[in-house]
Amino acid sequence: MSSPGISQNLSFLLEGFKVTIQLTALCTALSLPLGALVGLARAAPIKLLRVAGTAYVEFLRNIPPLILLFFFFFGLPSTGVTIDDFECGVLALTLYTSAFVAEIVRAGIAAVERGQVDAVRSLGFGYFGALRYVVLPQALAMALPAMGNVIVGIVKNTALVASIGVTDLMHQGEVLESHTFATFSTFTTVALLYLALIVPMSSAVAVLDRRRMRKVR
Amino acid sequence: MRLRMTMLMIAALALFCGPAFGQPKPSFPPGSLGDKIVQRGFVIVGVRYDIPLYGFQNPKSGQVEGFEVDIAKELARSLFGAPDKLELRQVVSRTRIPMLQEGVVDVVIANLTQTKARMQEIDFTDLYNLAGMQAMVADSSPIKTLADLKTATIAVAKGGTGEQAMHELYPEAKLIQLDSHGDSFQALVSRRATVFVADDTTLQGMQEKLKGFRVIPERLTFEPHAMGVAKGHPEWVAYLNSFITELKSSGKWKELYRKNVGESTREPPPGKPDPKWLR
Amino acid sequence: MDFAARIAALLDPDILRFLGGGLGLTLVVALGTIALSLIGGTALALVRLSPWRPASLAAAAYVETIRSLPSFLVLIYVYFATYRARLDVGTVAAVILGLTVYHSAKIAEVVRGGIQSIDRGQTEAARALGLGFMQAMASVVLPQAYRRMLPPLVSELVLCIKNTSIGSIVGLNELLRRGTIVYQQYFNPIEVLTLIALIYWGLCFSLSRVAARLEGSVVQRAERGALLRAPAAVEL
Repeated sequence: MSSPGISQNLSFLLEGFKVTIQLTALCTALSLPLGALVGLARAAPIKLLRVAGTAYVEFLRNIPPLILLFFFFFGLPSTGVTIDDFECGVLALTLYTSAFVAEIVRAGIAAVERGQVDAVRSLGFGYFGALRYVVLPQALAMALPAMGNVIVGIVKNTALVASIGVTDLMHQGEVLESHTFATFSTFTTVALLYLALIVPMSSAVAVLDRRRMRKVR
Repeated sequence: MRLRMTMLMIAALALFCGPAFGQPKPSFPPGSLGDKIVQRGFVIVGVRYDIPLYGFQNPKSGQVEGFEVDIAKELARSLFGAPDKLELRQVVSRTRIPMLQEGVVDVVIANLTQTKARMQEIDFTDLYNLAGMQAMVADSSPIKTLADLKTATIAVAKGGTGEQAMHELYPEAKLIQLDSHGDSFQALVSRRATVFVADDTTLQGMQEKLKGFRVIPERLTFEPHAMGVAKGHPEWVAYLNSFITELKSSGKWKELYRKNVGESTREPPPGKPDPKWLR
Repeated sequence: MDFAARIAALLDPDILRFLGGGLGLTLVVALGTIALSLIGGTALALVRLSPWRPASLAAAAYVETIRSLPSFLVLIYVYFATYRARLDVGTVAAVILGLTVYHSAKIAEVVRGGIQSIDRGQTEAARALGLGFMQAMASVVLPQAYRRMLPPLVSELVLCIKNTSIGSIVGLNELLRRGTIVYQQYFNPIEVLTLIALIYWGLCFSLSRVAARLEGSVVQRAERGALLRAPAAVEL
């Protein structure tokens, strides 16, 4: 394969790997709280909040994330607002992921037996008290493995930012490939790097999942 | 009555056999790519669908039009006597070379610049156009000369020669690399980038789409455009070369160029590229 | 161009027809992919659950690897591989192949979960009655498993439809790419992307509703626990 300076090429890819990690970390840090808020809104006693939350989730979950990326990158500037390409990536992926997080949180809350909530309320806990001491701890415990999946999903989706020019791992791979014509060695290396990032996470999720299943039975 | 019938029959016969006498079918060694194309009955040409004036799919009509598309039609006519014995396939920068190497298309006529690196992967015919790389900016931009590019934000398409040239010539400039020329032009339009660098052919096409942009006249590089062919088919390359020579000498080149691009003073390029044009 | 002109350019019937063609292609690719992935995924799941160790491990390795990669990467890889393998298949088939490689790994997990959720007792009873592994699978386990798998399979279809948009990057003339062509011609990205988003939304939302309704009728809602037992597969 015509790859002069393999270490040069590798460090070129690793620069992209760094960006992928930065992107993942930021999106995770932002989408978890955002999604949790929306999820809580969906379970709230106020109808307006529930409807808004549902609209948010059902819209974002059912469109390709690439459209969100293009919208912020190519579309938004025509309104006068131009966001840096990396930030477009963060914004789009955060919004997209938060919808899934919201759904997990809502399902987690809903799965906590009504009986528990009623019992606790009858003991004098208010709505937020019941939420804090009974519902949320259990909901979050159940949601943990699903959250792991969410993070894995974020990493996979970061590959899409290459199409708006963010210099992530995928982008660097594409550029390297067009220079060296070494298609397979380049993309195999890129794949190995993604696996190095994702496989540990999905194994952890699988372990947590098995533990959770055992508890449920 | 009988005379008229006879004359009608002769006329009909002539019409029927005319095509067979008119264009001698090109002959290639049996088993070669050229022969395969002739047996197939139509030629498969890879063209761009996203460069106005040269290879462009009109979203309203769905038709693909342009200078290079017309050349493809002439090629079909030269091979089979009719311009519709042609199948067009869309190519993008990323897929031009793989599609040739694996025989998906017979030839690529798609703003393909001949470079030394590419010559290792595929073969090139004679030149059919000599483009140059140029920089496009907004009319109101303060950028006046190429020296200003050093500190600019430059949008280029991935996989094209523009990207490589910018890495070499202006390494300190901020580069935005997007999937296609269309995307890169869009980046300039939305003012994400201050400069869009591409072949002058592409830039001409973009100026067709939207006013308000000017091109810095000084060329960054020469971009010799030739047809791409997979390696190992010298008979096909030879045929294409004679086709290109005929195109230029018969005046058809100028006619098609004027029809699609408009410039009537442009001369066709020489056949072989000057070595200093090859990077 | 002012707003009215931009909208008018979009709502031109020729343009809408152009976009409609893209939607058609999106559906063809998505349905083709899911159909093939069902076959591939089931085969993978069965191999993985089969008693033959080396094949089972190979299938497991394949599934776990592909599932852990971005679909974009898998698509590009397979796309170039079809060229290298001299398969003159055209962009549509190459994209279907690439997406199938990805989705059959995902579906393999769904099928495996579905099969494993069927009471072991049934499999054992079937084997006790003299049915071989494959026969037990085919006549007893799979029919029940598929019914249970319907909701996550429909979710996978939704994901697949979203993934077809990635085909635009390799030149597939589907809905998103055609939208890009339109707004690069008429400079109305917001209008076009909004319309296209709505089209995708319409398609995916209705399918998700179908999945939700299926979930209601298939999974015993009486046991809250059933919801928890479903694999934590929230697919992004």
